[in-house]
Amino acid sequence: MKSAPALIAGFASLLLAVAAYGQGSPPGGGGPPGGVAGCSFDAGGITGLNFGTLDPSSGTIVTATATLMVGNCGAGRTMSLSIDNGRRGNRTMIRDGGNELIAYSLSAPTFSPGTADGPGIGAYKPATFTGTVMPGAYMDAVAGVYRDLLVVTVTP
Amino acid sequence: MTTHSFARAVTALVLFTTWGSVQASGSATVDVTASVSAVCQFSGTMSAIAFGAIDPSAVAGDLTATGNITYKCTKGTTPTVSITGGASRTMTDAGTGNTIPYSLAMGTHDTGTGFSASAAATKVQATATISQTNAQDAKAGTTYKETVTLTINN
Repeated sequence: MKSAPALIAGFASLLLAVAAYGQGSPPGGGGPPGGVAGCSFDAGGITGLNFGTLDPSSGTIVTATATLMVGNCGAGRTMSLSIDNGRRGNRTMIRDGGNELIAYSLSAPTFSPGTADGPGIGAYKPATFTGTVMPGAYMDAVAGVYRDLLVVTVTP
Repeated sequence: MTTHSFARAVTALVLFTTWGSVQASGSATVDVTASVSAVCQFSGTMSAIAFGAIDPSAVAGDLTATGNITYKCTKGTTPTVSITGGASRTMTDAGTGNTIPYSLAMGTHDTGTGFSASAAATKVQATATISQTNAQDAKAGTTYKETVTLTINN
C-alpha cells in the first residue's frame, strides 16, 4: 500500500516532466536541434530512381537521378540524409519473376545548389542523389524489368 | 513511502528525458527500376557459303555447303535469322550469265548469352543445297555467286 501523498507527489512530478518537455520542443519542428519533432519528406515530392531501358548491346554507363522534397523543419536545423542498401542489403535490382540481379551504386544525397538548412515549417526543398549502373552489370542480363526499394531517412 | 514516490518521479523524468533527446527522423521509400531490353545483333565476319568446284560428271547426290552466321543477343533471348532483300536463290556466273538454283535453310538458333566479352559465342548454321539434277546439268562457269541479305529479329 502506498500513501495518498506519495502517489500525488509521483503524479505531480510526472506532470512537471511532461510540461517541461512540451515547452522545450514545440510540435511541428522549428525547435532547437535535439527536439523530438524532426524534419520530414513531402510524400508527393518523391521521384523514383528510374534507369529506364538498359540496352545490353550498348555497353554504356547508365545514370539516373532521384529527387526528394524534404524539410518541414526550422532553419536552425541541418538536415542529414542517409540511404539504406535496398531490399537485399547490397544495392541490387532483382528481375520480376526471376532471381537475376543487377548491381547499382549511389551517390551521397545533396541539397546542391541549396543548403541543408531546414526551410521552415510547411516548406520543403529538393534533395537529389544519383544512381549508376555499370555496363558489366547488365551486358549479360536477362531481358525484363528489375526493381529495388530504397529507404531514405532524414535526421533530425 | 517517500523514497518510493521519489523513485517513481525520477523514473518518469528519465523516461521523458530519453524520449525528448532522441532525434526524430522521417523516412521515405524510393523505387529503383530498370528495364533490360531484348536485342540481337549480327557479330563478327560472315563466312561465305562455298560449294567449291563442281564436276557435273561426278555428282552422286545433292550438294550441300554450310556457313555460320554469328550474332549476339540479350541473355536468354532466341533470335530468328531470316533471308530478306531480294535473294532469288539462284547463283549467276558473271562471265556467262549461266545460273544454278539452290535452296537455303537455317538450322537451330543458339540462345543469346549476352554482350560482354566473356559471353559465349552464338550462331545459327545456314545450309545451302544444290539438287543433284541441277548440279549434274550445270553449265560451265567461272564463279557462280549470289549475295543474300539476312535479318535478325529477337
